[in-house]
Amino acid sequence: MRNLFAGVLVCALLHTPSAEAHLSYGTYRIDESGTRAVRLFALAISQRQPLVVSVISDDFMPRLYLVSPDKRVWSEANATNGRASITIDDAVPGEWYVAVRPVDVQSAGEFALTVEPAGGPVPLGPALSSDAKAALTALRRRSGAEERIGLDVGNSRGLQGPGVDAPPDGGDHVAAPSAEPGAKALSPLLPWPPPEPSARMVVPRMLLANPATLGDVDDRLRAALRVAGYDDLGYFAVPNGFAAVTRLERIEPTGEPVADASRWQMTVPADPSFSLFDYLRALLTAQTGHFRVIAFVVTPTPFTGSPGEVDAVSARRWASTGRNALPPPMRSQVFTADYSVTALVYEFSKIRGERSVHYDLPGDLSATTHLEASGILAALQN
Amino acid sequence: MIWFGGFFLIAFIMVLQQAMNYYGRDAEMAWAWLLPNMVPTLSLMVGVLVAAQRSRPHKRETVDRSFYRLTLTISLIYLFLMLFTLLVQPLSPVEPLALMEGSRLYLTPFQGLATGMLGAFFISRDEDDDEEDDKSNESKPTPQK
Repeated sequence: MRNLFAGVLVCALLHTPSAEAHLSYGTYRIDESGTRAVRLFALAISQRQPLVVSVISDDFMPRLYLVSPDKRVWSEANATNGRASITIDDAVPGEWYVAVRPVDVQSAGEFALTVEPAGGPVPLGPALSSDAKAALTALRRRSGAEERIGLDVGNSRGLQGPGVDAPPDGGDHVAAPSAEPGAKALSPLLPWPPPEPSARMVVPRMLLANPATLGDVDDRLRAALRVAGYDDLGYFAVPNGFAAVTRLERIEPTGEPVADASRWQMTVPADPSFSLFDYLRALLTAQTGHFRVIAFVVTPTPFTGSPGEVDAVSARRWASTGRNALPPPMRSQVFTADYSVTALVYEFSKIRGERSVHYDLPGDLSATTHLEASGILAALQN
Repeated sequence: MIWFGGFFLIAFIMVLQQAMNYYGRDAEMAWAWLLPNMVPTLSLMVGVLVAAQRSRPHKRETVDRSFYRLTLTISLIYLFLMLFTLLVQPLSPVEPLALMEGSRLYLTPFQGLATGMLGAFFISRDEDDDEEDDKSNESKPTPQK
C-alpha cells in the first residue's frame, strides 16, 4: 500500500457566491494510466494579497506551476522532500491557474495541494475559462512532457477539500485509501505530527470502557467531556484515526477552568476588588492569565511532537474549524489493540498588559494535573 | 510646573509598572502611548522658556489673567485624562493597551487644544518694566507659574 502522506496542511473553508463550496486544501492523485498526469486548478483571487501555493507528496517529487492572470508563469520543484511551494508577495485579483505534475513523468500517486492566503480567505473559482486552456497550452510546452499530459479540464473545478462534498462529476477529489475509511471526510489535524504539546499523557485503556470501535471511543470521550463542560469539540483526521479538540479556555494557575463566563474568552479580565491595597497591586503588578486547548488523538500510529510554537489565535479556531462529529464510516472502524488515546495539552499564558498570548513549552502543569483539574479524568473514571 | 509634575507622576507610575513586568513584552507599546502625548508639549515649553530666559533674562513678562486660567484649565483636564487612563486600568474590563489605544480618541482633541493654548500663551506675553513689577504681579501671573 502506498503511504498516505500526512496532511500537514491548513484547512480553511472557503466560499464564493458564484461557485460551489471550495476549500483551500485538497488531496488529489496523479494516475499511472497517464490520463491525469497533470492536474490543473482554477483559482479566483478577489483581492490583492500575499499568496502561498504548496504541494506535498510522499509518492513522487512534485513540480508546481502557477500562472497569473497576466500569463506569467512560476514553477517550482523540489527533489529532496517531496514539497514544492510558490510564494507570491502580491497576488493580483483575477483568475489564476495552478498545475501539478511529477518531476519524473513516470511517477504517480497522491499529493496534497494548499492555497494559503496571508490576509484572509481566497475564494476559489469553479471552472476554467478559455484563458485557462491557453495557459494550459503554455504549461504543456514548458513541461516537455506533452505525451504524458492528459488534462481533464472539465474536472478542474477548483480545489475540493475534506468536509465538502465532491462535485457531481467526481471532480478532482481523491478517495482516501481503504486503510483509512472515512478519513477523507475529516480535515487533517494541523499540522501532523501535531505541534509539541505543553504536556501529554496516554489515556489508560481501562478508562475507555473497552471500546469496540472508534465510535465507542468517541462516545466515551464526548460523554466525559460534556460532563466536564466541554460541549464544543472539533474533529480532525489523523493517520488511521481522529483527533477531538476542545475550545480554548481560560484556566486558573492550578488547572481548574475559571468559573465565570470569561472561561471561553482569550482575555485577562480585571480583578474586581475595591480595597486600596488590591487596587495598587492590580495597578502595578502583572496579572497573568492561563489558557489551554486539549486534543485527544486516537490513532494506532506512534507520533512525536513536531517542533515549533503554537499560535494561540490558530489554536482558538481549532475546535470551530473541525468537524462537529465523527463521520459514520470512521465510527465503525475497529478499535484494535494497536490504538491509543493520547491527550495533548497546549498551554498558553498572557499578561494582562500584553497584547499577545504566548505558548508555554513546557507547560507549568502535567497533563495528568490538567485532566484532573478539568474534571475530564474524573468523568472518564465514572 | 503642572505639566512637568504631571509628566513625572505618570512616567513614575509607568516605570514602576514596567519594573513589575506589568506590560510584559509590550512595554514599548505602553511608552509609545505616553511619550507622543506629552513630550512634544514639554519640548515646546522648555524651548520657549529657555529662549525667553536667554534673550531677556531680567525682564518680567505678564499675560492676561483669563487667558492664563483657560490655558491652565485645559492643561489640567488633559493631564487628568492622561492620569485617569492609567489609573483606571485595574478597574476597566478593557485591557490596558487597548485602553491606551482607545484613549487617543479623547486625548487628541485636548492635546491639540492644550498645545495650541500654550503656544498662544507664550507669544501673547507683554513685557513689564522692572519698576512696575510689584504692581503688575498682583494682577497678572507670570508664565513660569
